[in-house]
Amino acid sequence: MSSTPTKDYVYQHITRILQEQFDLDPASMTPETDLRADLDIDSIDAVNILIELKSLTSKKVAIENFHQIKTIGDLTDAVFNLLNEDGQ
Amino acid sequence: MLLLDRAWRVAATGFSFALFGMGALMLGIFLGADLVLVRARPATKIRVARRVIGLLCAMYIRTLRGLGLLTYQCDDFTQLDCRGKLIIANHPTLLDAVFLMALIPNATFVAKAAMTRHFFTGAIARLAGYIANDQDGVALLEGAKQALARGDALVIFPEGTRTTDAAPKFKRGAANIAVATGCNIVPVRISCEPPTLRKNQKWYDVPPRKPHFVFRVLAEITLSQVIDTERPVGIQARQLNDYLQDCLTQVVPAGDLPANLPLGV
Repeated sequence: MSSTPTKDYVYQHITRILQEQFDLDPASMTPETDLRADLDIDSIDAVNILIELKSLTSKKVAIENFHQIKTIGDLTDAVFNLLNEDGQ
Repeated sequence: MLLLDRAWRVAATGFSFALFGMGALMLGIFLGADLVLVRARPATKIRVARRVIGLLCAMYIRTLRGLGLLTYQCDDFTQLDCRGKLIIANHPTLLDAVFLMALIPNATFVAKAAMTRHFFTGAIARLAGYIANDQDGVALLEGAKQALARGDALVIFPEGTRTTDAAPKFKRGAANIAVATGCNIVPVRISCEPPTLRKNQKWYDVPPRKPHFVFRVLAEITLSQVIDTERPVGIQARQLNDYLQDCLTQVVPAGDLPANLPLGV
C-alpha cells in the first residue's frame, strides 16, 4: 500500500498551515492564490511554512528555490513532487 | 529679507550635500586604508569606523545648525541604553540616519541597499558593518541576530525608505527580528516641521522657513506587553508590525504608548 498523500491532501494540509500560522481565512485561498501578493507571505514566513511541512514527511522539507514558487498551487505541486521522489 | 534667507539656505544646502558626499568618500578611503595598514581585526575596524562616523555626523549636524539650515531637539538620548535592543524609527527626511548615527553609539544600521553600494557612502557603510536591506529575509535575520547578540543597538527604519505622501506601510523585517530574538524595542519618533528633504523632494527645494527636528524616544517595548507570545511566530510578527506602525505613525502624546494595543495594556 502506498503511503504517499494525494495532491488534494497536500493542498488541504498547506491551507491548514497557512490558516494556523498566519491567521488567514481558508475561504480566501485557492490554488491560484499568490503567496506574496495576496497573502503577504515573506521569506521568513516561507521558512516557517517549510518547518511546518515536516509533519507530512519524516524529514525536513527542503525546497531549494522558494522564490520560484508563486501560488499555493505551485507550493502544493512542489511538495507533492518531493513526497513522490521520497517514496520512490 | 525672506528671499535672501531662502537663497542663503539653498546655497548652504548645496554646500552641505557636497560636504557630506566628499566627507563620506574621503572617510571611507582613508579610514579603510588606515585600518588595513594597521591590520586591525574585523571587530576593531567596525568599532573604530562607527566611532568616527558618530563623531563626524555630530559635527556635521552642528555645522548645519551653524549654517542656519535647521534646529533640533534630541534630549532623550542622553540616558538611553540601547545595547542589544532594536531601535525603530519613522523616516520623514534624508537626515534621520545622520542624526541617529550621531546619537546612538555602536549601532548596526539596516541601511538602504543603494546606500551601501553608493559611490560616496558605500565604502564607509561597509566598513561600519551595516546590513543592506535588500538581503534575503533569512540572511538579514541572521545578520540582525548576530548584531544583537554582540550587544549592538540595531537600528531599522521599518518603512524601508523615506516617508511619501501615501500612508506609510511598515515592512515586517523589524517585527520578524524582534519576534525571533525576543529583544526589547525602543521606538524613536522623528518629526520635522516644516518638512524638508523628503522622498522625491529636490535638495534645492528648501522649506519656507528653517526646519526644526525633534527626536523623541518613546517607552521601551517588551514583546509580552504588546503581543501574545504563545501564538505562532507568523501571527506574532504581523501583530507586532501593526503595533509598531501605529506607535510611530499615530499622533499620540510623546512618550506614551498608543491605546490600541492588540492585547490592551
